[in-house]
Amino acid sequence: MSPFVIILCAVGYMCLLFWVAWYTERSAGKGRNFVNNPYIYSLSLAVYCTAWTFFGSVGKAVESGIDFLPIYLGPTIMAPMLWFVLRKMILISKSQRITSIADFISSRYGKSTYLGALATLLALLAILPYISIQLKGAAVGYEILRQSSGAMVGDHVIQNIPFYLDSAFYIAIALAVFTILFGTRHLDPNERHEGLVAAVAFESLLKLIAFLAAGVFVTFFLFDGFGDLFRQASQHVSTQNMFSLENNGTNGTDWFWMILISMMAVILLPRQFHLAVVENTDSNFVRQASWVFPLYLLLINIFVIPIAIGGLLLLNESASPDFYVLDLPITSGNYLLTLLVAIGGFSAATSMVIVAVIALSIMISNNLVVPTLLRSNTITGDFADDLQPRLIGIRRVSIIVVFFLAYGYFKFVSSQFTIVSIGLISFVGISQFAPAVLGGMFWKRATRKGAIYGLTAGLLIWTYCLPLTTLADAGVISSSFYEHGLLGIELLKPHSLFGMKGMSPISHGAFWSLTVNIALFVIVSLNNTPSTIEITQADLFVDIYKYETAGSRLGVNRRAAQLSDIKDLLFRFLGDERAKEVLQQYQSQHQVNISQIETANEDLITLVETALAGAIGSASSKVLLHTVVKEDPISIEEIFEILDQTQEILLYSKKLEQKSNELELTTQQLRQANKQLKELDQLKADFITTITHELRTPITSIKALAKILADNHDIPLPQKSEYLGIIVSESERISRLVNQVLEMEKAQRTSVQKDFINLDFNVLVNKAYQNLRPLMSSSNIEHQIERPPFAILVKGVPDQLTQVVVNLLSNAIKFCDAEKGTIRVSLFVPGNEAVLKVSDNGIGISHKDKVKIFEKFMQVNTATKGKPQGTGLGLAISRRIIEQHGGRIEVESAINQGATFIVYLPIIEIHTKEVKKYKGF
Amino acid sequence: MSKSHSHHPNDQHARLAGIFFLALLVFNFPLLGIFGKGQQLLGIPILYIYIFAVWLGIIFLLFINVRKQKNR
Repeated sequence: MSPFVIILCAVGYMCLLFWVAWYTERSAGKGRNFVNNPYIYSLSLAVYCTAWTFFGSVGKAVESGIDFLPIYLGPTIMAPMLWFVLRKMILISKSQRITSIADFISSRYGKSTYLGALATLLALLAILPYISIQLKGAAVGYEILRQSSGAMVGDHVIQNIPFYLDSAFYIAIALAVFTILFGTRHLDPNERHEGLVAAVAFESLLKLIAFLAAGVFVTFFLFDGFGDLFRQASQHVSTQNMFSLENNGTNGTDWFWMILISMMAVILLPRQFHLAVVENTDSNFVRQASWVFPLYLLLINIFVIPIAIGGLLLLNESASPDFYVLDLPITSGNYLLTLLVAIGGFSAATSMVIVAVIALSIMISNNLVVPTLLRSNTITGDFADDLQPRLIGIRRVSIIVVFFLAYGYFKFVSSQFTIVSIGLISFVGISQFAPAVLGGMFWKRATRKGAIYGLTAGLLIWTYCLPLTTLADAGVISSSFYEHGLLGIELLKPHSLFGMKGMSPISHGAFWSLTVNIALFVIVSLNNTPSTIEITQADLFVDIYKYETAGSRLGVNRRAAQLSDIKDLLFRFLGDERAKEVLQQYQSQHQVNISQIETANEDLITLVETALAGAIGSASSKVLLHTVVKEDPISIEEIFEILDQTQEILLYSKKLEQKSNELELTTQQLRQANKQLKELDQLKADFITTITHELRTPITSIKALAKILADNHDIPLPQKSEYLGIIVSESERISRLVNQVLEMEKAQRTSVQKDFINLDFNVLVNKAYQNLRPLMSSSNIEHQIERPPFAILVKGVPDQLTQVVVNLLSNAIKFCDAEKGTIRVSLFVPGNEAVLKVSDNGIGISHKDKVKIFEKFMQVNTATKGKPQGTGLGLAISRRIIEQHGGRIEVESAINQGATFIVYLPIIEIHTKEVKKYKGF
Repeated sequence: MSKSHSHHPNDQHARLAGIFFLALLVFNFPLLGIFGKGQQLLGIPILYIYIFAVWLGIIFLLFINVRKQKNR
């Protein structure tokens, strides 16, 4: 393939990545954040799989069978623990605005500048070789594509050309530019880059697809499936021992150490920490990731062995096993697949490089450069107003420096080694973080001094046993210490310290560095008193769940500062917009107006310190605030007291909260009851007013007529009898009214269910209907009843229910059409309640009256009929009775459409035979 | 799953720890050594089958656990 086509493809691919990132960030700006998704999160964790996985695993498999696998089994074993470890890391980092693994360590041990710098140095030393093997992957891949064969590309070819002809050099430059564009376009105070995450997830998908495609191609096209592949492998001398652990020199010790260091690497590698913790948007995503991520690892490894076998059986012996995956499709002449695989490998390399370098640049800037500048006072001086551009500049320069160093390492060292051997050295280096990080998260007693001693010892032993020997192997330094031991002392030979033999250099180095690291960490911590800030930070890290619920109000510091100083720092380091946001947050959280205060209190200082930590690291933030803050010293005893109290306070406040909730509920209930009482009172008053008014009307007319009769003895008889008739009917009206009021009272007083008996509602309705039939006939009202042939058993008071039916019927009689009245009564049982419908064809009820008619003394104005008929209590009594029987009453009507009253009454059961005898019948 | 005791967070934690130790056991020697003598099953190396089958099994357990956790 011509270099032009390859470069065009690579540039095109980069543009595609940019588009993915740009599109994601634009959508996130509009409120649709794709990255806020557990599956995207899991895919982004697959940045774990780099050129090492894509190219190197096959090389390792050729060398020693399944020895490539522990690196992926380790993370799988770690997966169930992610919920405890990773989630806690996320919660801590979010509350403290931690933006890198170095910052995490520095923050945990009292925001120590020294530890931050030490951790950054270790990360840099460990990751540079790792980045260099990615450059190697990309560069060799490019050469293989260019020459259309892997056979000619020996490692030495690359090593011996001058850098300006070296493709790796230009790849490094291109990647540096790309990384700067990706990671440092603007300074995000939380180091969140949605676009970056989306691009990494996309690359993860791509490299998986490419590798699976290559695997399927080899297994099913170059061979006839797994059976054929393994059969041929078992017949060939170079492959038949691949599955015998003994013949490959695989032993339990090496295997275990590789698993152990990869378990730690998967959460401690700077790029893993960056994507899993810093870029995390929801700590619950860890749940899904715990199975999706191992599944990804399984898928990308399933074809490693087949490709290794394929390469051994089909390719020229001079081909480098690290690049079989690219070589197999290219020698078969399948150029489309070759291109896909090349892009897959390229994406594996670039995703690692970009994220790792961004993570390193954050560390270098926040833990090395900014603290140094702070110390020399160059950025706190008056001349620098807005420091954001300078911070971005520092990031960019550190990115370029990292690439430059990585290229140098590649040129002089890693080009001579297999990808995996270099990668494993990085893993052991990174695992030195484990005691300080994991110990710091779960053990409060761990101190800064312990972490410094452990980390320093681990760093030194690791450097001596592993990277230094590769430098000697590569001929960069003299190898005499290597062959004869340091200063000629046999016991100090870097691959068999103190005469420990029989382990691979990797597990040997891991054993000594980690053992000494852990031992010093524990012993020094136990023999060392932590300072106040170490204690508070330890509490914050180990008991993060407590702070999560209580917020940041459990601080123990007593600090104060001039508000103007604090504001000044905030604006210069965060920029106007972000600084205003922080102040706004403080104002709304604490209900204060910032323009009215002069001294910043502890709450505000803590808030500003955390916000600044996001931008320049926790150690720098602490140092910076130290310049303007006056601290009130606090004794160790006091601190312990406060921290112990916080736990109690937390419990207490929880109880208090519960109590106050209960109290609020009770208050609400009381208020409700009070309101009801008031309403009732009002109703009673209304009731009395109305009833006296109702009584006065007939009494007035009786009184007037009686007076006329008394005063005038000569009234003619017909008139006299007419007056007497009115007096009688008015008296009847009074007595009716009084009766109904009594009934109403009785209905209200009836204790529910005490007087209830079982009765047949069917018979009851019919009886009431039959009683009123003469009246209907005499009023020329057409009437009919429809009822089922069985007994409907309900619980109730027969008199009261009869009264309801009579009330409804007499209402119907009263209001039905004067000339051609019709009344229809129907009773049926559609489900577990009886339904009684009483319809008339009268003037109907308007919509707004429908609710009112059931209220006491409510009468629909009947303009045509003049004076209201009845007392206005009938429906109110009926409703009351039906409700006491557990039923409900409704009305369906419209003006001039007649009215239908519907009674629903719960039933016990229905009997096909009529139930004859019930009390009251 | 209506059994209330299986939804307790401590049970979740115990289950996760259980999967962790199980994985640690099955992916390490001496168990691994049993399958690493070059034996074959249906023409396919037993070591290859063992590792990937067990791997899938562990992932399945994790998946089940996540589902249970979510249903809580």
